[in-house]
Amino acid sequence: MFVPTRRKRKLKHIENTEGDLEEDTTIKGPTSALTTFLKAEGIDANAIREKYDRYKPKEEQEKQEDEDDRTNINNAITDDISSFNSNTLVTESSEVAEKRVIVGDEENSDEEEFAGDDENQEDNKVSLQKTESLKKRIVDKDMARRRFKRLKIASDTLDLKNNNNISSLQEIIISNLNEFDFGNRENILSVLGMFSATNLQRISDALCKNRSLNSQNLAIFFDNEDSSSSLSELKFGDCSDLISSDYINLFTHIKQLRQIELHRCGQLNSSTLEFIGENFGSKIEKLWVDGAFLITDVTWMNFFKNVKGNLKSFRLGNTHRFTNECLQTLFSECSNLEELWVDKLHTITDYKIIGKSTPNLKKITVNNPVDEKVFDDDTLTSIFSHIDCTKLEILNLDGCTGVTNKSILYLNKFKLNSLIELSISDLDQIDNDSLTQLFDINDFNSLKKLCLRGSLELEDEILPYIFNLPNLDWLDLSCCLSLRFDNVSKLKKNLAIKRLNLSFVYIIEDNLLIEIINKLPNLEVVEVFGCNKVSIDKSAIKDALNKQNIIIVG
Amino acid sequence: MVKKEILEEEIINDLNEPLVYLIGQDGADSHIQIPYRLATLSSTLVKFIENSNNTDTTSDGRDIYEVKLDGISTNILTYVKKYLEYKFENESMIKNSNTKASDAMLDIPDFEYPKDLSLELLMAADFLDI
Repeated sequence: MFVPTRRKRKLKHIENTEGDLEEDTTIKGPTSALTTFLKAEGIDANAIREKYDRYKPKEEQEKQEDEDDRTNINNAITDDISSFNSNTLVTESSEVAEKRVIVGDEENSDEEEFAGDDENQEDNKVSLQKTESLKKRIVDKDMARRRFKRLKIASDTLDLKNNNNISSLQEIIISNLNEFDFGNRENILSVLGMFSATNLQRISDALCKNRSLNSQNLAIFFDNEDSSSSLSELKFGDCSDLISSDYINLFTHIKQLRQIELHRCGQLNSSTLEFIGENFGSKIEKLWVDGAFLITDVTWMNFFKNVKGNLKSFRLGNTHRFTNECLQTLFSECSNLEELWVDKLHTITDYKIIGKSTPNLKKITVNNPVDEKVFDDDTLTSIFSHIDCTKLEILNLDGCTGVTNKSILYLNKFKLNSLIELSISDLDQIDNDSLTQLFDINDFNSLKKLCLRGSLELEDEILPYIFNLPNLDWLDLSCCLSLRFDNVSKLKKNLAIKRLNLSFVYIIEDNLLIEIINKLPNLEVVEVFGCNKVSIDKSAIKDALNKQNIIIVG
Repeated sequence: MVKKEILEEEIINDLNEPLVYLIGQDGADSHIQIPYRLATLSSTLVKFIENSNNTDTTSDGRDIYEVKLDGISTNILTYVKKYLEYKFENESMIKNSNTKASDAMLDIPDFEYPKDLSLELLMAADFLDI
């Protein structure tokens, strides 16, 4: 998972080579292939060992604390079980609780003993402290009892839930729908009734999720003859079972369809797209296509000539037939383009054309170009020279590894005050200083989504700037391995952030997570995948926060 | 048939088992009541319950959890309950039968619902992840 940035790698390599020069005077034994490989990659085994040694004592200490806590919780759960089984919930008297001494693992016993009155006063103090911490951990005993009861029932039915002998309700309904004759419009009305556009989109999502959208049930989305309402926007997440004629039927039977999103449309071919472009091109405003690998470059160019200025949003991904010429035609023909999203188009080698002749372009997403040479600082400079950066709303450069600090410094020349989404994931040539400067200089007041995933050099200095963003809704700091969160208490409370991703930030543990969440009162979802120090039972964190409606994923 | 009735009775009369009230768009007065073990078959319902702070109990001491499902009508929730019972009963039957699962499945009837509710039920099933 951990990939050192190339800057670090270079530095380490230089250090190592210097070291090698000094060591040349000493006598050396034979070098193994592994050692040679580590040296070539700039990985220092000694540094890893030192880091491990530094970390080890802390870990052992934490382990000891965890064991103590676990003993306490085990005792508490034993109490709960006994009270649950007997169905008599007797509140523990404080006197008994005070006298109780919990014997740790050192004595190899899980039993509880009652100490004498005078002899073990110190022990009593320790036990008191432990009892208090226990009380803190289980805020509400009743809540724990309820939780235990639910867990017990859930574990009883777990194997039933996981058995797939009985089809899911969705599968049953879809299977019945497939037997239905959609050729008769009256039949459709009797089965479907009238649905709003939102609900039709939900049905589409359900069908696509079950990989069941096909030529037969596509009729669900067609216009009703007696109704004036018609869908203007439609999204299909999985079109793998749709054949060429279905795409034409969509535009034929849905008169007002202007915006369409088609994923996994491997059967959409050149002749179909040409037909759609020639006949319906004048009304297509948004076309998002993913996986249309049958469409040739000539067809794409003809399509852009047909749709001309109507097209405002275009997205394409996962095809090897979209060439530089296609991109040029897109920008020369579709002058009203506002949004461009290209992902994994490995036949494009010249992105400098982006934004040319399209002054309204304000949403740019370029992900995963074929290599870092085709999208570098010069490319980005060229793109920014074509557009009005003050109006830029989305800038997503995930996986454009050719972008360096130079581009970030160049960005500082413009005031990106309209930016709503900024995503610069996995850009390993951008360091902490330039990112901090970016947030220092620019006024990102309208920023709602910020993704800095995989910014390996990102340090705590940037956190105050991020926590000060007034409208930030979604924050992704996953894989930012250099973050320490040392001064969380000094950070301002942010009332806007609702979703936070801290996956693979290994420093995160329960208390730190609680501290961070306390700074984000309106947080709804926090992701902690790969954070091994966060306890598996998330309810302990929720109890400590006294906030049950937060979802902790991972 | 007798077995089925006994099973239903067992589910409903288990004194320790919490109850879940599914409150649809028609309001709390016409809620659908299901035992917690049926709710565990839907991950969405489990999440709702885990994140709720309900502390209500029935007169006989059973915990109550209310789940508000504003977009779903009570009529649809009735069929959701029927499906959960259908799934629970038949999975239990397959689990407890001595024959192979494939043989036991031959005895399982189809799940019945009015065809004119197909798409509404599909949306509810998608939301509830069942």
